[in-house]
Amino acid sequence: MDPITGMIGIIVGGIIVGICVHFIPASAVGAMSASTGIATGPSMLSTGCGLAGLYAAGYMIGESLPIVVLSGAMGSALMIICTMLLANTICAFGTGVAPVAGSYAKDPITGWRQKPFMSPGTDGHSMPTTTALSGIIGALLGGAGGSLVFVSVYEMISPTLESTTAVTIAGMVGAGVFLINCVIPAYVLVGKSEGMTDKKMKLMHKTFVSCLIVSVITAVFVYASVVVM
Amino acid sequence: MTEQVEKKEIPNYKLYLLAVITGIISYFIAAFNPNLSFISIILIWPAFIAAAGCVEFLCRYGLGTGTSSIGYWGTACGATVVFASQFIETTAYSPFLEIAVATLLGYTAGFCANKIIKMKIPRIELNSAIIAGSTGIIALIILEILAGGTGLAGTTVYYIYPVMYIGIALTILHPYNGNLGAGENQTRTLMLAMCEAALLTALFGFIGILLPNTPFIPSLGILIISIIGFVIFVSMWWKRVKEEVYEIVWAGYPAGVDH
Repeated sequence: MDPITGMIGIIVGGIIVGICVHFIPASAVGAMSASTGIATGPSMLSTGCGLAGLYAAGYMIGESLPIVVLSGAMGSALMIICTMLLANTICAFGTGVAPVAGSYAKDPITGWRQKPFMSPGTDGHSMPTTTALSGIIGALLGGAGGSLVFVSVYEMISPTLESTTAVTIAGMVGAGVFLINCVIPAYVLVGKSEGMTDKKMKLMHKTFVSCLIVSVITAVFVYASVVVM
Repeated sequence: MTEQVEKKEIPNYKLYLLAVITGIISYFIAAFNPNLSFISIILIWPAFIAAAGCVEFLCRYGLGTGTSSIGYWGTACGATVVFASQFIETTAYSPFLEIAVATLLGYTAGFCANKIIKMKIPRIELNSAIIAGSTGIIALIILEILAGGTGLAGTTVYYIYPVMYIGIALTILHPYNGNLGAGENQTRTLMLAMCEAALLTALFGFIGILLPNTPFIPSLGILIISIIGFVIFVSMWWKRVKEEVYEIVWAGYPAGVDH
């Protein structure tokens, strides 16, 4: 991969990472079952998914670009599926609340009513079907974006460095770009998101522009480093 | 009547200027004479304080993200720039360039948060830039020290990138969390940042002892100096904590009355 293509890969990957956070259902008050979503900030949950995706992508490094990206997306999705399954299990059998969302009256996929099962004074709890699907889409995007950054950096630096060194540096740069881009949407989401059904999805253009600017600076610096190297 | 005079807070940009000056001196000491790296390690402590001060400033306004996010994000800006540029042939300008790019990246992210996303957090651009620049300084110098002044190529120092990443992030984000509450104040928070900075550099001293490329005696020096610093800073921090706590008495009895 030539450095220019790699640079474009970092920019595209960074933007996808930013967008993925909008799909991840997470809320700090979810810890008290007072809101739909996993009980943490969307950024931190996305980071967890992204890092799991980077591990999965790392196992496939050396294969073609789509295979590595797909592997990263799958690793990331697997991580969030396990998290949501366990979170729903704890809410249903531990706290004793049903998975319902506050942002829609009927689940768009199953058609199940939400309001009658919602505890008074809450915005929903755990992850109903559509919210869970949104989380999976977000994780797939995040894993793919993070892996794209990882592969782009790896391909750029691998001709001049040993394979193990290149993987380590690409992994850390990939994780760094992931963290930079996945925290920026937190300013838009303000600590809570129900995923693709949330009204804050309309603010995605702000995330897009912010992540574009930040990713361009990061990518240009990595490009300059590789060219000088 | 006891008149309580509220102490003025130290502006974060002043802390950052100090961190840049001591950081640059520290870098060149470590690069030109690795045997003096135990002096370098003392000179990076101001960078931890500057970054922790900015986390404290930003989190007071109730960020859209959490304290942990801002810590990890700031470290991502600074450390990523340093990690990406470590294998470039080093010149006298390298540390200046890396610190400048890290600061620029932090400023841009803060600018996006304030102007595009419209967070309206006062001085977020400046504080983001300081966090990113400070973490860049810390990562740059720790890598230089552990590489033993020979550059990273041919060493195994890159194995510790993840430890560095998490360690730096925790050290800058935790002081504010650790001092939360009604009595939170900048001095006590920064004092805890110094404790944690010394603790982290002690860890890197220990790692330096284990790494083959890092000189043994300077690493031991780093470990000992950091532990001494840790003991001193903890005693200072604890003194401040004791000054600001309230006396606990049994319910119904005023303080100082036998019961």
